[in-house]
Amino acid sequence: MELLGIVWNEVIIRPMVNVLMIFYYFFAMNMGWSIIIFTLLMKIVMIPLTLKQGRQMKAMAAVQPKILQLQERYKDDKAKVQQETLKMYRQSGVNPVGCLGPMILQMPIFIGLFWALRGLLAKTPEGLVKLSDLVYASIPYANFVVPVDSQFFWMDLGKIASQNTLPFLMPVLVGVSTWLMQKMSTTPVTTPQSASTNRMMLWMMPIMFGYFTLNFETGLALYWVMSNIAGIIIQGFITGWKPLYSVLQILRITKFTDSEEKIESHNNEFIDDEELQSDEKTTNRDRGEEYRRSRRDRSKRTGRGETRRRNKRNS
Amino acid sequence: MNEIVKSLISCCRVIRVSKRKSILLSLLAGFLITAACITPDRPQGWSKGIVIGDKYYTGTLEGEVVSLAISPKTEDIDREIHRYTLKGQEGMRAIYSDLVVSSDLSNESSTQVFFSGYDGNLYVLSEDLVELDHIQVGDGSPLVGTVTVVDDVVFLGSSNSNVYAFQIDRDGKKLSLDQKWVFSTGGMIWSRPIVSQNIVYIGSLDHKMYALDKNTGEELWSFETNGGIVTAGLIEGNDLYFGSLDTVFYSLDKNTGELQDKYEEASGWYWSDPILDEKENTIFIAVLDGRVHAIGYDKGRFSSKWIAELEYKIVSQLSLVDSWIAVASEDGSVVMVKKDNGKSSRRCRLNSEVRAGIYHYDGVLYVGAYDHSVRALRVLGHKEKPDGRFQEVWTYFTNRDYTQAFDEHPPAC
Repeated sequence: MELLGIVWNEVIIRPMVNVLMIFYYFFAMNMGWSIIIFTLLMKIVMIPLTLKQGRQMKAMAAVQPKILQLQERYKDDKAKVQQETLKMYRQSGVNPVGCLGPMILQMPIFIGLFWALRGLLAKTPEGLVKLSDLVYASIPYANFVVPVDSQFFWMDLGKIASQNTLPFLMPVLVGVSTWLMQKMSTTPVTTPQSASTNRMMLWMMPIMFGYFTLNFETGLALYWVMSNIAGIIIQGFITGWKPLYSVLQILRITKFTDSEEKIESHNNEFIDDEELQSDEKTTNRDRGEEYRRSRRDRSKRTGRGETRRRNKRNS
Repeated sequence: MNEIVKSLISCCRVIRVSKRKSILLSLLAGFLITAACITPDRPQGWSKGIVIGDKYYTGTLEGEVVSLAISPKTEDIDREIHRYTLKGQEGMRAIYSDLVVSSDLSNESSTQVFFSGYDGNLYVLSEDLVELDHIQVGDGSPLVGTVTVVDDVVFLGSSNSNVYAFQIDRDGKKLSLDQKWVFSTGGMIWSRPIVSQNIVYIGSLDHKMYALDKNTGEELWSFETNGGIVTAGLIEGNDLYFGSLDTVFYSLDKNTGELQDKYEEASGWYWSDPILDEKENTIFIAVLDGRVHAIGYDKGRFSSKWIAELEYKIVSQLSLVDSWIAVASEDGSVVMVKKDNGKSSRRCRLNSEVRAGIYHYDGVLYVGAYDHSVRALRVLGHKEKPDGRFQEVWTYFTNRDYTQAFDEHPPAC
């Protein structure tokens, strides 16, 4: 156990603390900016992992209906179901424990960052003494910045969110950004069961994380918000911006000009009456235009229009 | 984090755990992570005590001051004589300041105990631990540094970056404190001010050592290092010595603040105050990396004498005992290091972290440990021929019944 603690400290916590301190030294001696830059860097480093995870989840979602069929077919033979399911996963390129990979890598980073921030933003003498264990003696900059200034705009990053000025702002920001992230990364579903899971997670996770934020250091909440924002942007480039557009549409921040895209949008159930009316008007206008065009074509073909115009001139 | 929960849920789905169960599992994991992460970062304090008459006074981890009989009439039962609880709110009652004694200049028989609390108050107690006065310093920011009392003036630094001077007004048995001056620095102040002639020297976590006029608080000079300053300065002749968190020990001209020399052999932060051996022209100082340095000085110039390695972090302040230096490290061991060559004697393991300074009085070392104990360790052969060994005389647990605790904690050495 002691060995595990040493490994944890040496591999995760100490490098994080020292990188954050170096960023702090080079970026205006501001812990907030240091956390933001660190988060963005971590996100960039993890892009391959994010892509892999996305692919795995997509493949898994695609395989679900087939598994349901298998379960139906071999209702009475559980061993067979298991065997066939594994076979199915293998055929579809899904690694049943492969999904643990990203989690195993991300979990220590997240928990490690929590402890690194806690160590760095220590307020008590005990905390500062503990920090001395984490600082690399060979990096002079690290010694120069102690104790770090935890003020970032109106926030004290070392205080837990509920004790800070505007205590609910960070939890709300965490909740909203988590919701957006969730919306952006929801994979297309093929079964009603998956749809219901997605719906549940869309609302449950922001509430859960918003609540957690109340009891965490504000510095960690800042990491969370930044991580979500960066995640939304990366996800946007990978899978497209449609979910974000639909959210913006709900908020009436943007209006689509392309009616076809609007019709195809998978969230058209949220379009309100006014927008539907405007849609109707557009469609009617289109129909009128089409009608006039077809009449013109017909009259050209039959030559009726020409005869009528000639008669008019003669009279 | 949401990626983590998503992975967890999808994993649960793969291993054919139902949707409801997978969400419950994720929630449970989330709560476990939260529970594992949230441990309150509460100040505990470490206070070096003092002996007045036949009593040992010390701050406790419960945010109290106790007076203990050095040699009680009834063995161990009547050890505790008085107790005083700090005024601050729960969670802020911690004492990092050493207890300092000051006598009435006109009546030397009346002695007062001065100390600052993490709750932001400056306290003055009588020998019987009756409160004579307590005053909130500035905005009530935590007070970590030890106070210094000179000529009926109390000097101290605060975590709100200010240095304060309070005049002691005595009227018979009554005593009150009035703010005399205040000086602002750019960082928290956790170090002890020292006074020499008419100058107050104090280090700040803004990386600077300040020299202030004792009567007005006006800045005379300041010297900037690369790290925060937690240690107190040391005056010897015309020189001021102090260590910094930048791992350098400095020598300055005490009147001008001009740099005279640097000692750069350490690789850790200087945290505890240096001690001086005038006879040998040597400064002894502990570093947080677990080493004790003996630094020779000659008119402001340094020379390295020896470095003793003790493995564990040393927060506790050293104490000179005859030809030895008593050192307590965070692993809970107390060890004597030979003054002239740095060789250490047999360790006494207290089995609990020690951060409070060691107080030496008449051949007995008094030290407080993180298991709430106060230990009295007799130096064997004191005054005759101390050989670096000691023997535990008594142990007192400030948070529980002595006899009960004694069964759990037999004498350490």
